[in-house]
Amino acid sequence: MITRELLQEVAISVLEDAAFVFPEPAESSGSWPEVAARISFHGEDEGQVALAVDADLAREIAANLLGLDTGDGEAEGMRQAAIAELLNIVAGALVARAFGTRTRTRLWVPGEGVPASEASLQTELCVGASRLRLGVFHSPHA
Amino acid sequence: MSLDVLIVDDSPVMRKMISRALGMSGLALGSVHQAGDGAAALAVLCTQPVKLVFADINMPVMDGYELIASMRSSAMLRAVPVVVISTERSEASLEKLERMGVQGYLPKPFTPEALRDVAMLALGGVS
Repeated sequence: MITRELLQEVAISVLEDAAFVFPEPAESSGSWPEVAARISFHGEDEGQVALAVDADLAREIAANLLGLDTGDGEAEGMRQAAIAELLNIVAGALVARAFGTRTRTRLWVPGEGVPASEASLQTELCVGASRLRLGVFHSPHA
Repeated sequence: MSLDVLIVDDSPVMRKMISRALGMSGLALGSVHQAGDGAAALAVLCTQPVKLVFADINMPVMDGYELIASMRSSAMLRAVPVVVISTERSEASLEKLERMGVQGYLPKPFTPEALRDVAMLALGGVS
């Protein structure tokens, strides 16, 4: 089962290991940051996971994933794709932890944006002054 | 002898991450080809002498399973080793990949060292 605590734990672990940023839990700001991606999952449970990140942090994550300087123009251009791939990695680890590996939970290809519906659960993290927010949406048509 | 490889992933970020990790791995790389899905990968494989394929599973147009099945049914491509790099971790999927003759599997995220080790294993210990 996906819980807020598990979502937060997996996100922090992936951000540290894959993107070399070290987030801390933060109070909810009530809004979704601008660089956002979503991915659908289907199996024991179904829905979508979304990740939204402030633009400056998205650029830093893209730079770290690609081994570039934060000021590199390529990092700026790849920030949306970087957040989508980061979400893909988070979601893969999340469904494996939540449902185990004995049952298959399929992930689809990530898309842009946050679902329009209300999140079933969400968590917010910060890296310095930058925010990132994750949510799970249980309506498959969100 | 240099190693020509093909990286198949719909994410341009992941393709660059794998390419960068390969560059850091110590493998004697030749050409590093890239494709965004299985169909594009088959087009590359038909024209380039690729010795090792790194493939994702979840991709649009043609996914990793379909790509591997196509390669295994082709006399020309049957023997080309495939390493799957994916977020897919279910036992059923890993068993399916093993039955399809995949030589290695690496979960995302990965380190350059893990990539080198799985590539070496897929190549039979020779880089």
